[in-house]
Amino acid sequence: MNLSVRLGIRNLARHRWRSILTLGGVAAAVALMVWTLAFVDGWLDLMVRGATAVETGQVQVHSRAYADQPRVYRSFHADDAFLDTLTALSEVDAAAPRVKLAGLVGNERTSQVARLLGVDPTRETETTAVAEGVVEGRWLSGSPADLTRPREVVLGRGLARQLRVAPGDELVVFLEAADGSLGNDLLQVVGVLETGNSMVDRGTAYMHIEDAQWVAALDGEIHEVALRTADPELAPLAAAAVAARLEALDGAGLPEEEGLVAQPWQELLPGLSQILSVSRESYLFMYLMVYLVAAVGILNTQRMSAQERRREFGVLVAVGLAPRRLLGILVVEALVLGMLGALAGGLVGGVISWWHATAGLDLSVFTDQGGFSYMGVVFEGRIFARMSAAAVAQPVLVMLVVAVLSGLWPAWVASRIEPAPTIAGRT
Amino acid sequence: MLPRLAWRNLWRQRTRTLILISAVTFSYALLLVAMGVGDDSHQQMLDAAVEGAGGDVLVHRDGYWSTLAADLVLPDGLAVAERARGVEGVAEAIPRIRLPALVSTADGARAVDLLAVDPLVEEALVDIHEHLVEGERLDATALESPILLGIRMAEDLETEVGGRVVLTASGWDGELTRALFRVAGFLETGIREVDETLAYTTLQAAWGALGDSATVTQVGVLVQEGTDVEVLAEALREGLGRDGVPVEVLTWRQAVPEMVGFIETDDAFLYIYAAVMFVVVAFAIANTFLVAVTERVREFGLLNALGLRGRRIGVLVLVETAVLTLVAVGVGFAIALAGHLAIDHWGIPIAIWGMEDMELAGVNISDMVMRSQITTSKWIVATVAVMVTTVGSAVFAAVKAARLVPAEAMRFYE
Repeated sequence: MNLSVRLGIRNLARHRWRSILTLGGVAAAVALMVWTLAFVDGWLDLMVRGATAVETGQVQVHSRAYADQPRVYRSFHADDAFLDTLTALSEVDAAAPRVKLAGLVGNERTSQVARLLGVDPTRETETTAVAEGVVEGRWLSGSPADLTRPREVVLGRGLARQLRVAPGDELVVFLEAADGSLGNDLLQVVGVLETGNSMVDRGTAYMHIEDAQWVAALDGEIHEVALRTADPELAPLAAAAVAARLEALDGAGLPEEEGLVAQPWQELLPGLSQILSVSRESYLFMYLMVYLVAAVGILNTQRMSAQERRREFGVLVAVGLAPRRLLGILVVEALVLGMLGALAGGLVGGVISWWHATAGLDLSVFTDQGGFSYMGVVFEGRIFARMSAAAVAQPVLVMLVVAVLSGLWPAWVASRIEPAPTIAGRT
Repeated sequence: MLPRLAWRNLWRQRTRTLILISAVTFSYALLLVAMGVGDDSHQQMLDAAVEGAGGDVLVHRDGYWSTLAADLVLPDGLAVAERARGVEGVAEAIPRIRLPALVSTADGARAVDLLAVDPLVEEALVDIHEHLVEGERLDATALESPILLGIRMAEDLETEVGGRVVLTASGWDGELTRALFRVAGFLETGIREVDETLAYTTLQAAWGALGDSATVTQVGVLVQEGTDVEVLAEALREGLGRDGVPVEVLTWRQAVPEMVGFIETDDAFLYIYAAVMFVVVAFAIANTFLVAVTERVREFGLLNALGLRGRRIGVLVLVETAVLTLVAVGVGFAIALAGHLAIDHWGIPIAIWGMEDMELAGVNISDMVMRSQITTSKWIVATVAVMVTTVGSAVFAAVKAARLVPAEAMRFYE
């Protein structure tokens, strides 16, 4: 082992308590940052998933006019062959056609305004996680109900509560159809949803796409295709690939204004996209604050220990140790101190993060009010951190840099001592 | 004598003391400023939530708030409001109708959250005409059945001021009712979701459409300054619950639980970070004093030999920390106060982080400007906690100093 390193470690061991206390401070700072990173990652995951996986999907295809201004009559024709063309792209995992309507849903007691989504139950399940949110009853069956029976509908929990209905109850839907007429139909609740997406949970009703097309006089046309991609981050690339494919198809004869556009969720939900990038940057500020305090601790310790050992240094320099070498020894000391503290902190922070990643952090510890929604995503019950090698390694590595930097000044001052007066005790 | 001695001792190691003081000062000031800004944004969020909910205390038909069901109404709402005004501590009682409805024109239909209000009474809570960008006020228009629409909805429906819209809603009996309204003007709040769904009309117009003349869904109560909301809510329960339909009386805490939940969670995270920060600071202080004790063994030995008892030497170390803490807290407080005043004066628009509209707990917040506000109790608790932590972290060193044996200490060489 290098002489500087050996000397450094010995010096640290000689002052056990001092080293332990500094280590403790560094460890606490690193553990806090590890936990922060894991928690922010988990939180952002939850936001992206809550916002895209449940309802929006990662990419959506609309007619150009609908994307500009949604109107019930701005629909387009999409058959299975068209959807298969899209899923054939390597970027696209699944595609779900949809009809989007707004109407009044109610019974003889009361009614509520609702968003109605007409979906293909099978394709929708492949594309989004909405069916996993069924908390009462069941998801839509594979094909529409028999024509003699009411149409199947699955309600968001808030809507079900407002209408005071449960699976089995009947409802009437009343809405404006594509041809300007007023469409209405009898529905039967088959399930209730709680997905974590506040728009779905508060006011959305899902029905079979055929039923929705019939009540809205859409004649087999749809408003939207939602696409699932493997990595939400890469949605813009997938959207570009889809757009290229659509352009190739458009070449088959659609006029410009009736063409189709593909947009990634970052474009569809700009507010969320903004918040995500802000949250990603916010931990830089945390680093600055927490590590600044830790750096002061290291600086102080190193300065004191150098001050105390000035005679020792005087002797070392007198017997021929180059000041540069002395500087090296002291910086290595700070580095070893920072490294041990950072490793301990990484361990502690890693364990706590791992615990919160597997068991989750129960929000009810902080408030007895239950959860809350933020940017359309419901935060309720337990929030799970996301453990990753980066979340542990980054705070540890940054701390090493901080340790060296905060050890530099005390080392610099100490290495410039005048041997003779120092040994004589005249400083 | 001890404080003076402590003061001198501190300045004998000037750099070290300054480093320590700056660490405490920095983290303490940061904590106070973070609390000030946090409390102010929380207050703004809460105000927005309370404004959206309709008042400090809300009176509804029992069961209304959790379902927003249009059949749970106060059939004699005006009388309820009148009686509420008679309760001590009530500044204003605002009757209003919230009605989920469809507004349609030849160009389409849009779902709206229709609010039917008396614009003059409503002003006690919010000026509904604040965002009027075109057309006339509800209380100034000559139109029959006037309605104000969010501008985005109006554009979508391609309607204009003076134009006709048809409102479809379920009446109090659950029957679908349709009525003709005239567009009095457009509202533009700048928040997309709101501008797409907002609609206001007068109580008279709504009653005209629904065939009624006194029913409301909500009476929003505003309390006078200094009135305890819980006590007032209890008085309202007493005063309004006795006869007629069963009512629910909710305080804002109960009415916007989601927002309260968010604020409490956000505060909890601030405290966790503050606690860990001060653990880090405490380690640094404990360390410094430990070193200082070792370094000053001879000095303590001498004091001891001169008759200063071991315990008093320990106390001396604690007093030194206390003096250091006082200086740090004093300077930190001054910095925090300056930061608080500066932020409160100039404000930090959250738009500088690229955040414009946000949805929180069902409330849309746009273009928020963060300012600062001092919650005295919190600042006191934080200050005491900081002082206890820093002084407490020197206890170990103090005990060590107190246990020194004079003869051995005097013999000690560096």
